[in-house]
Amino acid sequence: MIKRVTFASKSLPYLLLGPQLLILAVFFFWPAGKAIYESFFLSDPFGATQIFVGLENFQMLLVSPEYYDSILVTLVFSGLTTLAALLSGFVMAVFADRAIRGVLVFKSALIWPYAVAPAVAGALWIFLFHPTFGSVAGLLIALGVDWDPLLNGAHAMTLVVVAAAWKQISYNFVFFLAGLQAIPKSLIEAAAIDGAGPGKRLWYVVIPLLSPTTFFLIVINIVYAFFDTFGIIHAVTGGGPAGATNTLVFKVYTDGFENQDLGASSAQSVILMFIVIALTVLQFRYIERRVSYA
Amino acid sequence: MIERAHWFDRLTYGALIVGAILVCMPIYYAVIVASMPDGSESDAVYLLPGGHLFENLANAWNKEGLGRQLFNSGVMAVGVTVGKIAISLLSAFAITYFRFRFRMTAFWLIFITLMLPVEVRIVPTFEVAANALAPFQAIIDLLAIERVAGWLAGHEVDINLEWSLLDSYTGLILPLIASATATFLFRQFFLTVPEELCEAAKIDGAGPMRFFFRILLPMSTTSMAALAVILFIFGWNQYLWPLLITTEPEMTTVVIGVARTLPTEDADAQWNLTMATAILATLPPVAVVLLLQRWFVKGLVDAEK
Amino acid sequence: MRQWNLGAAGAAIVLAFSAGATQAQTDIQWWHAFSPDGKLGQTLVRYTEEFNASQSDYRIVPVHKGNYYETLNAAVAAYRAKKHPAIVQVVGRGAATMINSGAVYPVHQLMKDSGHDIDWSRFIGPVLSAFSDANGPAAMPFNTSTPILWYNVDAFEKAGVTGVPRTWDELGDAGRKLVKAGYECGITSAWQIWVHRDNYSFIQNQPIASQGNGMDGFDAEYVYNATRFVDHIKRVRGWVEEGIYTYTGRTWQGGHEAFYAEKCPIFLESSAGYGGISRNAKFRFAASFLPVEADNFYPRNSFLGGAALWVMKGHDPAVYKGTAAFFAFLASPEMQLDWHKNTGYVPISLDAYDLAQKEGYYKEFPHQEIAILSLSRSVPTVNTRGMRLGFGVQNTEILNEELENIWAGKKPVEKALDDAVQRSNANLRRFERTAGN
Repeated sequence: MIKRVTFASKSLPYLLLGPQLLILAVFFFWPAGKAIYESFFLSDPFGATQIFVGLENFQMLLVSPEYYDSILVTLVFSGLTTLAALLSGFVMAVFADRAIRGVLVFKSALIWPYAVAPAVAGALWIFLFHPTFGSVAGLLIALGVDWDPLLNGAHAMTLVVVAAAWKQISYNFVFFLAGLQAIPKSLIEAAAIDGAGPGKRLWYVVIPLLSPTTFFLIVINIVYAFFDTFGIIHAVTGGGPAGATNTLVFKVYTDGFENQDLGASSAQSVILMFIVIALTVLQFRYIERRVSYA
Repeated sequence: MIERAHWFDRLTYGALIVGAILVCMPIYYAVIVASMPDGSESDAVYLLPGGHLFENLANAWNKEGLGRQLFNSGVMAVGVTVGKIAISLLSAFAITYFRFRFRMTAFWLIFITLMLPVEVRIVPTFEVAANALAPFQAIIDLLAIERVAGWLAGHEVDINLEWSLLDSYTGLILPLIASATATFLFRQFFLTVPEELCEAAKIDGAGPMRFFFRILLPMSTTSMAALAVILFIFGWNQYLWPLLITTEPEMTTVVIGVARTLPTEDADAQWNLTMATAILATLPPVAVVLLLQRWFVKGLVDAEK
Repeated sequence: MRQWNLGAAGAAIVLAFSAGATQAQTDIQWWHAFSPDGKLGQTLVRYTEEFNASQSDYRIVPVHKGNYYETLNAAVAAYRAKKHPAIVQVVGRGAATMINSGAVYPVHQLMKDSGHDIDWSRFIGPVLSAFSDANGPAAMPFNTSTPILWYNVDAFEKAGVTGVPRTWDELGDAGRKLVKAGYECGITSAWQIWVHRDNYSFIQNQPIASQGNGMDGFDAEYVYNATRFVDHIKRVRGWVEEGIYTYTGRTWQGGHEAFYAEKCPIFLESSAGYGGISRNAKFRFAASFLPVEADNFYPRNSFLGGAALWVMKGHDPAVYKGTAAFFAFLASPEMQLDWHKNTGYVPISLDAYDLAQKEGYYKEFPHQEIAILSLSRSVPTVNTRGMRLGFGVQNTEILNEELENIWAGKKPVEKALDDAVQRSNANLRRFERTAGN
């Protein structure tokens, strides 16, 4: 996408892009390139031995059933987290947009989860939901729910999804609310005069007008669910039980960071890069077509 | 104006209150834990604070280095925010308002960086931070520039580029600036800016930079405020990166300070103190959010302007 | 040869002088994983302060680098960029990686080179052997613990459990009585792999892997799916079904909370859990040895946990002299005894143990002696010298996953353990290729 009206200059765009690209080159592409390089080697962590193994690191992943499990876990986790965070943010924004009083208080209350550091958030959720000492877990068990995220994969998945979505709700809320408030009231009133009820107005007027915001939030939320949640997973479930919450990025982190298997974790990073490039292309090529800018 | 049915108002406020309670419940619980006296049982369910909140907050505050840690986090968060907004505004402007040869290449180069957080490429990124000029050194080595220079100079030349970012604010900030979120957001915003504005500017004979500073930038304040919030919190909440690249206690950030109060192998946590520290560490970002909120009430994607 | 330094920020080209300024005091960095907010970290910092005050040539600078993995990674990343510390604390499972890394200056060599004559035979054998290469200890054991049986004395009395369970079957009986008396979760364990696989196998003299658990060669293979460990897991699986054993997570936090809250009166956990237990338990508690099988009249030494201090290559001789002096200081019986009393970790030298006995320390704190007795219970056999298996962390995770499958009833015991061994052996083969080259 580009503006219809543009400026003509040969050198200026490059100058404008310069600082960004320079920093990306040094701090992103160079290290990422090294990761790609490492993915063809088997090496000991301190770098004393490096054996070229070709595609073996990739092969090893692609024949391991655990890796496919992890892909599935990632899809379920990211899908649910994105959906939960977007929907709850949207619903609350729609209500907050209608409310006249107390919106500031509400907004101030909602913003806290977003500001809490992931490690602390994880500790908090454990505090509430650990089956042996969590307070809410105690309530659930007293109510007869057989709550055990330590051994029940579905429970564990629910817990990390809720914890991850929880941190992102306020972000989505703020953007949706901003988007909603930017919609000209005249348009909505016009629709109301034409006899459209609240539901219809939401569906035919508000949601299409929100599409740039929604598109932005979908991309950001998917990226968040994919990449920025392993701090929470680490603290809440540690990828367990039996790999039920072991997402791809969490696996990269444990294999590379805790297990010091640089080759395997680099190969996973490379696969991840391709997945995300594909996702991004998909998003920009297909979803963005349906977005109406101004 | 539109429906003001009584039941609908009630539903609205009811939903908001329930939503706020659900969302804030864990936070409220943190406050309760932070208000408990030492040695209270962690598995009991408390509904009301225990009356030791300020005592615990004071203890957390008086811990060695907390002030310094807060300051460092502040510098880091502001640095990341300002740096990222600056470079992103420029590149989003270039991508949306110019046609040039490598436009799509630049676009994709930037957007690929939406993924791969620092944590999964940590070892090579650390190597770069230990010597930010290493990539250039590698290029020099590859091109055998030393030998060429040596031949030109008539004696052996050894070029050593070194710029270590360890234990410095630059090192805390620069590597985190390398990502696309902000560029993406500004691009989204610029695409919604009416074409007429640019046309008018061109007719008035304004150059691109004049258009950028006089028209685009003032229009972007709401986006910038929204972004500033996100980036400030992003910078503030960094954990692994500051942990790795700082060794001086004077360079530690507050999230590390909080993490130190969490339980580790063979060491229990004093949960009341942990939560008190966490609350102190969360106050600055919350304050920033509340302060900046005024600016983006009017909307991020403001089509009416 | 002339050396040019192109300064940062494109400043001027500066002529670099390689001779560094001579410093009166040599700084020695020690990266560790004990939070300065906790008692362990505070004790550690106090030792460096005492050492620094005791002489003026060296200054030990302790730097907290997060948890064990964060510390190790910080050291790895720093080593690759040549900004590494002289001393780094590495968790026990990292020993295989460290010994084969080529980045380590072995401690026996360091002490010899620096003129410290250390009588290693006065150290607790199984502790040293876990970190030794062919010529002696490659690392300095620092925080050493072993799992023991913690129990709630009040609960035992209430449930009518008389005597401390000596065998695993007696432990099950005790658990049954406790649950009947209303203690909902019965028995639990922290660090299940360490307790149920490593220490069960050591005490029963069962191999975990071939080649003396990897101590004799990198071609070792896991064999625990064909030892008495399998029957042990079947028994525990039966307990889980019966409701007298509760899984409280892979680490220690859940178990501790369950023990404090008097839900699980029997807790298999590290001797170093003493700090938390003594602070939080509002009941009488005591400790004993981990149980054995009924037919085991010669229980072997248990397996240690914790971490050791490794010295990294690439520093000046002065740094190493100071490091050696610091290690000698740490190893002194007085320091070891202080460490033992303050942290619940075991002293690493027999002299420190003698000192504690002479003081009558164990009369007052009998459970503090259990770990030492347990670690030094026998002359180590080929199965109990230690464990040196690559990718230890990942292989632990694999077995954790499979044990979770067993507890949840998703896989039969044999199948799950076979799967774990198969997956882990693939890792060992991978490790073998980079190790020892």
